[in-house]
Amino acid sequence: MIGFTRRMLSITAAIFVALSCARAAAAETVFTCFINHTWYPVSSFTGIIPEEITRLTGVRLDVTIAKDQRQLNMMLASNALPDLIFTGSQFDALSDPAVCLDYDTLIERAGLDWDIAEDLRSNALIFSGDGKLYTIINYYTRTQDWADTRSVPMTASLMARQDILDAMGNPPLNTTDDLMDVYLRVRREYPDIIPLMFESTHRFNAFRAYFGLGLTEFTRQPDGRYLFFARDPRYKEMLAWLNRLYREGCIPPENFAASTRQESVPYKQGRAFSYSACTQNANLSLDNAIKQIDPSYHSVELPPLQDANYTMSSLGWSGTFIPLNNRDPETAITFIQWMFTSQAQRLTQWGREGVDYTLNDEQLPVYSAALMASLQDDSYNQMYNPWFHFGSSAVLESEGRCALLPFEDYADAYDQIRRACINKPWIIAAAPKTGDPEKRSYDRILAAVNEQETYILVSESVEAFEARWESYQDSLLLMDVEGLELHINEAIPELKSRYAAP
Amino acid sequence: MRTRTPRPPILKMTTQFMLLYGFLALLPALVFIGSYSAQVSNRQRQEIWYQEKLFLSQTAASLNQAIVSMGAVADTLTMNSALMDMLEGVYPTASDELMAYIRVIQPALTQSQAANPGLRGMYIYRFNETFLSDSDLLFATPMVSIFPYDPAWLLCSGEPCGMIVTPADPVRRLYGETLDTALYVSFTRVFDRSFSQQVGLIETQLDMDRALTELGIPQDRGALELRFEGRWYPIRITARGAHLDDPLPDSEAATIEKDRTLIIEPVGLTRMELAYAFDPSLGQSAVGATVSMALLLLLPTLLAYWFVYRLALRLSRFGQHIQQTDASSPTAYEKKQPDDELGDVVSAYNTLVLFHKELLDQVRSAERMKNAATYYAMSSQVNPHFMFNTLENIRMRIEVERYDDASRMLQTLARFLRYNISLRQDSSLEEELCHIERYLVIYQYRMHSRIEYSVNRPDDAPLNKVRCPFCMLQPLLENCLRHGIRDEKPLIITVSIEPSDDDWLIVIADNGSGMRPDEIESMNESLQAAAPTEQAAQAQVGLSNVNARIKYFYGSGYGLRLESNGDGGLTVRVLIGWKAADAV
Repeated sequence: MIGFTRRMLSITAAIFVALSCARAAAAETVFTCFINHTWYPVSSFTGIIPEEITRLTGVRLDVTIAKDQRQLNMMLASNALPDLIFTGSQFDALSDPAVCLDYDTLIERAGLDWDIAEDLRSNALIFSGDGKLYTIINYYTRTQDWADTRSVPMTASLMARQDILDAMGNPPLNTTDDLMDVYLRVRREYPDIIPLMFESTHRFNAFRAYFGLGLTEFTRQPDGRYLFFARDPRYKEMLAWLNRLYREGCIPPENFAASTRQESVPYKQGRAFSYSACTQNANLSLDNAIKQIDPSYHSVELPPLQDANYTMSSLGWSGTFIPLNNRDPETAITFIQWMFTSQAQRLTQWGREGVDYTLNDEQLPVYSAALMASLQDDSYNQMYNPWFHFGSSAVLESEGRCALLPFEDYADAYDQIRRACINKPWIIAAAPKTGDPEKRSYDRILAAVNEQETYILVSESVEAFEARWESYQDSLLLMDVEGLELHINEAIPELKSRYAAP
Repeated sequence: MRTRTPRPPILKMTTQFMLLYGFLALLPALVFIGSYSAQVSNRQRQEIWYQEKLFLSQTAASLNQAIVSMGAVADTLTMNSALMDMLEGVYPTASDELMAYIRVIQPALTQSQAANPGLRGMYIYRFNETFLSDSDLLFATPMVSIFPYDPAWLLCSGEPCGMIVTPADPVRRLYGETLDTALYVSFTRVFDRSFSQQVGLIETQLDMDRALTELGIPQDRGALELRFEGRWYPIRITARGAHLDDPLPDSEAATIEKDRTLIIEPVGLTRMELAYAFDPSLGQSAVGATVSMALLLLLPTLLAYWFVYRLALRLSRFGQHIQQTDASSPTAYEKKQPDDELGDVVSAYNTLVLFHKELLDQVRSAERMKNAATYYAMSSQVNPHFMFNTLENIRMRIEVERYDDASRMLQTLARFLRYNISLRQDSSLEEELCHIERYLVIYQYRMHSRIEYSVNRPDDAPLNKVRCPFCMLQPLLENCLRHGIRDEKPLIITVSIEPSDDDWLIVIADNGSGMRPDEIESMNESLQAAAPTEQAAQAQVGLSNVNARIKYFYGSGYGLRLESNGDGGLTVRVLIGWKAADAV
């Protein structure tokens, strides 16, 4: 009788579990999601981490990656918006009650207990015309947040082939002249090797830091005023320096036409000496790739040059917006709240605790052998897919990525970069918003930057360079860059004081 | 212990009815239903086949439309002046070419991709004179070191130019590139403006998973497959969309073509074909329908069978009752009958039986009265020679002054006669035995002891309670004495009584001259066939007389039987019952 009862209980429990699973599967919510980052390394919400997110939240994403920077504008113009938009730009256009739903109303409707940090709230409200919160920008950090870490913010960094440097006798790399000499030597001594290539997102940022320009859109001049960076003399100096490299055959023109999937290929194929990209684990995949070709190949992140200026202005990286046509806004806001939890941040960045990583004494992740192997064979993104960190923290991500690295190879460079990194959020906060008269010229000027600087950089001669530079400067004036700078210089003091306040 | 319910009898009428019903009604109905179901089933299968064919042709048309739109993208690009300038090598410097690419061509490529979500990738190859080399690749693929396909595709002359690439065998155009979806890669040749030479090639990649998903193929759809250049690619439909699997091994592909009924639809001008494995068993099964209808018909059949069986069973039992009823004493059929036609028949029968019984009783009563007179006449018969001889014998003993013997003979004769003239209807077996003992004693006196006899009674047998016809045994002894005494040999007569549960057997054996076997057989036949008629009873032959009276008394199953003794004598076996039959 007892056996029968136990069997019946087991069967009942199994049926209950099966029904629960079926109900859970049936309750799965699928949101269409537009990711406004053309460089995104994954194109689908698949892999171990997304599956775990779905298991824990019941939410699955049908992802579309932006083809170019104008696609979101086209979508906004045609009002063909998905359920969610994850973007690092267009905050002001999306912070509009005619386009998106505000967080506070949804939090109340969903009955959530979510106390949003004040600095995250105020960063987002900078872009809001009606004072309502339409997103939370993730990855916001203050300069001091990095003081006690061994990692660095996501910023520009220059990779180079250490094996070639070794072969060249490790020439000094303290100044831009030292760097020029090295590139020219590589060009001469390794004719089959491309001396310098650029990753399309960070492009010339490493050189902007090396030339003291910094990484902000507006640069502070000796008189205390701010200029649009393309009008800064240091910018011209940098472009002239790069133009010389181009004219010397150190930079291939195809580099500027390459798609994000293609731009790192020559370096990964061992056909390039140096690659301008970013900190954290960018070099890891590059180094793994060239070692597949020849184990003696070795890619390193170079320490910054002397007096490099890593001043940046960041209010965070990206935010998630919930358009008005979202099919289930309460579930969407519940999902976003969960993405900002510590559990979600660790899952989305590090994987499953106890399976993909364990924590060491310093509460830093120690990854599993399987995960480390996936990095070696370049299947990490496809297998784990740690790219849906809608609510993640920059420090947590950076620490996690550092744990992937053979850190002794990076310690010196990262230490110098970290000490050079200064975040001045008030500069970007001062940029014109939708409704400001300077907004149109600001957008036009930004949209033209990449094309213009490429055009100047690939000048066939010094004369052509000068002519194109002057032409660019004239076009900036025509686009009312001075009005833009006036707006910035008026807005910065108030914003600076706000951020400086305790 | 459980008692088994006796199996119901198989009734002829029911069987006949069922055979009649089966052949005249059920079988034709089943044949008709089977034929009709087969027609309906065939029609259903045809409809399903046409539906599947329609679905497949619509699906193929939609897929073709997606592929055609890829070609349209390529055709549109060939009308881009900047692209044609670049392919024709019009730009004087690399920077001019680059800026043309960045400002005009790249946005056109991006726009094409944004407008065509199924367009997974697009590559443009520039020809330098007649062949492709590293430096001639367009900026869209600046770092590609080799053309990743068979070089024959560069000059594909036959239309359409296309191939399927699957994750199992991806195009490794870039380092470590993997595929998460199958692609349909098609090539469009680009000629210069004067159409004098080929200046480039446009490769468009259609995301097959996306294209198939947008076809909206239902998840419950059967096995759908895509055939391309003899290879079979299964299309897997899940809740998340469609997926084109890697091609099947040749062995499995052969199985598909051999074992399945396929509906094949070409996809436009491509070399693709969509194939749907049509299940011929779809639709209503004729066998199933026939079986279902047969089961439906079985219920009324069983009801009809039950009804007929019940009727036939009643008739059968009634018939059995009539068969088992003794014609001489019919009894009423007492089983309660429903109020129907058969019940009326039974009721009429019972009335008839009642009337017949009353009539029979009247006839019997009259016969009994008549038999009683005959009976008395038969039982009182005493041979007058016996009387005269016995009296003469007594007179002679008196003359020779043997008064004691004469006195005992006279006393015995007196007792004998007293019993004989008592004229009773019946007597007891004990009295009958005493009577024949007196008869034999008288004979012994007369015959000077030339006769020996013995009467053997079983111990404790209640012979005085066994009723029997009056004067039943005396004629049999008389018969022995008349025909048994011969020569000087003494006649030995043995009378013995053998009781049994229901009957008594009286055996009278002598050692006299006996009878021939044929005579015995003839006599037995005569005794067996003899009806207890008046004529037989009045027969003066002693054996027949006794036999008739016994049958009257006990019934037709009782009477005499003769047997030959081994020593030449005769044995008469008299079977009587315990009590008198109703006939007396």
